[in-house]
Amino acid sequence: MRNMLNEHDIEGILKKMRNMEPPQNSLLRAKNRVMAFVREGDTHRQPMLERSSIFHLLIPKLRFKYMIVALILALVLGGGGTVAAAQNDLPGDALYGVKLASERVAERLVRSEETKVALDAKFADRRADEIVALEVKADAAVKSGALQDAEKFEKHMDRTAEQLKARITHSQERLAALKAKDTESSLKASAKLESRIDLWESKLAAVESATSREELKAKLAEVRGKVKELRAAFEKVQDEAADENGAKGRDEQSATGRVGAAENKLAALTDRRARILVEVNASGDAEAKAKFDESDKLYQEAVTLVAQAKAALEAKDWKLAWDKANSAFKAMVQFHGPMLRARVNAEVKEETREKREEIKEEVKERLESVIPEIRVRAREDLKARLDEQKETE
Amino acid sequence: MESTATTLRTYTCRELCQPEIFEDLYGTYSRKLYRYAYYHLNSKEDAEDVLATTFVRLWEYVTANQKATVRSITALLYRIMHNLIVDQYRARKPASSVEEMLEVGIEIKDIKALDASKKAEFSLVLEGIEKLEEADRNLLLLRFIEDLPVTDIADMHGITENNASVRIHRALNKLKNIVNAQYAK
Repeated sequence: MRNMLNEHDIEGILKKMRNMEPPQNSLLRAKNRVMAFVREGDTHRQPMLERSSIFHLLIPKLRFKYMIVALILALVLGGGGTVAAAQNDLPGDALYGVKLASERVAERLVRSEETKVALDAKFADRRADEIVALEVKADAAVKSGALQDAEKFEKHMDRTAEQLKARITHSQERLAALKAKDTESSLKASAKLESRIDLWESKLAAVESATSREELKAKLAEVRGKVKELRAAFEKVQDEAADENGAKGRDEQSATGRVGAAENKLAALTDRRARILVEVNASGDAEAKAKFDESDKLYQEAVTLVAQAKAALEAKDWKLAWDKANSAFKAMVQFHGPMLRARVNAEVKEETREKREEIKEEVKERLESVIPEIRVRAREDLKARLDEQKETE
Repeated sequence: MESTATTLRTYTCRELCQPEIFEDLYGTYSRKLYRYAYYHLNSKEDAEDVLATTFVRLWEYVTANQKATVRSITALLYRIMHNLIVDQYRARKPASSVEEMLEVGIEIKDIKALDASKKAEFSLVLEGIEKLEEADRNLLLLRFIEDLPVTDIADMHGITENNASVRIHRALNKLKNIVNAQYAK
């Protein structure tokens, strides 16, 4: 007979339950809903003075070109209140034009190309957020039967996706121009893009899986393609800069810098790898897992190389430290692509499973509705046969 | 580095009403709250739904009470979530076994490595939790799974620390009896 469990055993099992890993896509979907609500509410939370400013009242009736005049007036007279109020507006809102115009003004005011890339990243962030917020609104409109509104939001989503694509193309061009001029600045700019690009990808993927419109799906996939191109471009910048530096001389400063950069990239990648691993495991897809494991060898290699680079740095072997850090970079760049493909596989698998669940539910519902009918028929049939039997007897 | 959200001790609208900090706060608490909701509801979809609604309610609360100071954000979040669970999700789905959880994509670290009898014990505890009364279940989830200090739990329930400890102990005892009764079968 098995031993009974005591309180200590039960406590141990309860504590093990802490190790549950929630599905990443559930957390992301919930987050998108919350943040769409927060950003929408944020506009209404502006202080009364800003919301009731004369510009806010006038602007819906003005044409776009007058909005620019209103913008300048607002900056001069209103201390930027209207512009601030516009920052949370979505496409289709009264002050959205002001928001876009303020972005263009900001771009013109900035001289350094590096800062322009940072602005590109910031504004691309906004477009991605707007797409998520519009999807939530469109979904709510469909559910409440306001189909005209839903159509309006969808049109805005299409346009915003186009704008995001243009922003990303812009960043890519700016990065290329910067690389031709100044390696150091192009490296800094690529680091700024690198910190944002994951967010765009995950937001686009979330909307892509949520929408049922094929046209929008295709458009978002196109934008994601552009994001991938941009990733490849800045990885190339980083890689080539590394080779250039390597050729220049391997003193203490450059070796320390290179090892530090490799450590940072590894830390970011470790975090990303852990998240993707959870998604791949959650999908239960053997093929995705195999792809992940295969690419993970490169990650393990990068971990070893970074450790060796650090050891060489301590031993003051600058050349070896630099070389090891550089090889670690190369391994990390190679690792990234296949790891992402494993993730995409997992996502597709998850979607298929959800569809399968939907079908199961539908079949179950249909069966449940049919079963009482079958029972009645069987009962009638049985009764008829019993009556027949009685008559024969 | 610790996130901005967790380094703040008390909160007012000045901090919480900023979307960036709020997003940070979501990042800090979403996993724990999802887990709490899942063990209460046994449903992936309901847990996701109640998680989003909890944060929306928190946002509504802090933006509507701009002068209020939130002493313990943890306690407030769990309280909002628990009220939602009790009010809106009365119908719990039957507890899932470990295998069923894995099937729907709920991963528990190291669970696959357990032998069959340990997995069975795990499933029995999951079933046992479902058979507990709501108040007892909540105490055990907060104390042992969410790892909240007894002080916070006492604060959430408006009882003394001593009373909270006694109730947690009793709830654990009830769970033990339920599990062992199943075990004997």
